Amino acid sequence: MLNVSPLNLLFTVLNLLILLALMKRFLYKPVLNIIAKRQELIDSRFAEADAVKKEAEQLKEQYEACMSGAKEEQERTVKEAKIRARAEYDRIVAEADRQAGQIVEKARKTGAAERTKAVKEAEAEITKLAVEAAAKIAAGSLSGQNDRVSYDEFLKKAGEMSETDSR
Amino acid sequence: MEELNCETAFTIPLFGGIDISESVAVTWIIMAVLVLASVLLTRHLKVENPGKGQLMLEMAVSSLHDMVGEMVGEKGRQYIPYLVTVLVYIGVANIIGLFGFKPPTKDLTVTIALAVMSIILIEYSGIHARGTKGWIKSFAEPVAIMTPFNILELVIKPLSLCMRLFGNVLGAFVIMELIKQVVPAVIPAAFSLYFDIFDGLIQAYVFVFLTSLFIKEAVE
Repeated sequence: MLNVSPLNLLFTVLNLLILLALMKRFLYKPVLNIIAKRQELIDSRFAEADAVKKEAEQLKEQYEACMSGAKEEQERTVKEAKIRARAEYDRIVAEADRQAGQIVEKARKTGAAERTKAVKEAEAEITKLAVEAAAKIAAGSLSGQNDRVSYDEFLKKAGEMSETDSR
Repeated sequence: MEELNCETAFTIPLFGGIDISESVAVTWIIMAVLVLASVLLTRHLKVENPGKGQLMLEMAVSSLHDMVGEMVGEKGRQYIPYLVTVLVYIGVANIIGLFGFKPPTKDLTVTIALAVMSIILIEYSGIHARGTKGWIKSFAEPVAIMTPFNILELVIKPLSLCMRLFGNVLGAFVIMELIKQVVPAVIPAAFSLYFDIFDGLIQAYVFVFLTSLFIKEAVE
């Protein structure tokens, strides 16, 4: 029980050192190795995820910049289009005004010419009627009744003429 | 009383006969079992999707590693494998009585060997961490008058380590044998739970804990 044999003490020390080497080789190294490898894998996954996230954020920024640019562009385009439309509108209205003015002017001129022509014709007609009436009177065999009839006829014709003129 | 003796297991017929004590023979068995178990358990380790067995093995190894690492401190990390090995060895040696072997730690030779290795490792770690000069100077700390006591500690530390382990295991062994003499069945099982398993593991832990503490002290 209490006897100590130096040889067996040496054997025990050797045993322990061999056990240490074997445990290191067969238990420690593989297990810690696998744990370290897994840690590495996890770290790389995290790094990957971070990189992807960063990229996504960049893309988002780009997209937002793009969108705001597009919005500005859109507003600018709309404004320009409005200005152009306004100008076009003004131009068309002015043109229409001008044309309408021309047409009215022309119509007025035509109307006036027509009128003077009609008046001239009516005058010519009246003159002719008057001349005819005068010729009839002058032709004689005229009674008081005849005079009257002729006179009425003359008035009626003249009236009709002036009516067509004024229209 | 013959159970208390540490008998010679067999003699190697070389150089006029080398006596191999029982404790050394049992240590060989323990070594064989531990290595075989390690080889079997560490086959087919996978980085991804580890099985339950692998997870338990990893947890066991890393928790032992972390436990000892905490005790020994950051600067003593390189001694962790040795300390874990000793922890596992003493733990298994203390509970191997359950399987009908005599625990090797019941042999004073083994505990002396363990204690000598511990004190050598402690002083080596001190020299490694502070250099020879620093190591020698450390004997005069915290005050010069402590020097004789610090030198005495070179003997006291391993002696206490060795005797504590030896005494505990021997005591447990003796009590268990006595109980077995009185009541051969059932009752010894309940006591064995305490004396063999609990006390055995506690003593393994205490031995490694103290060694780690001394190493920590030496390197810092």
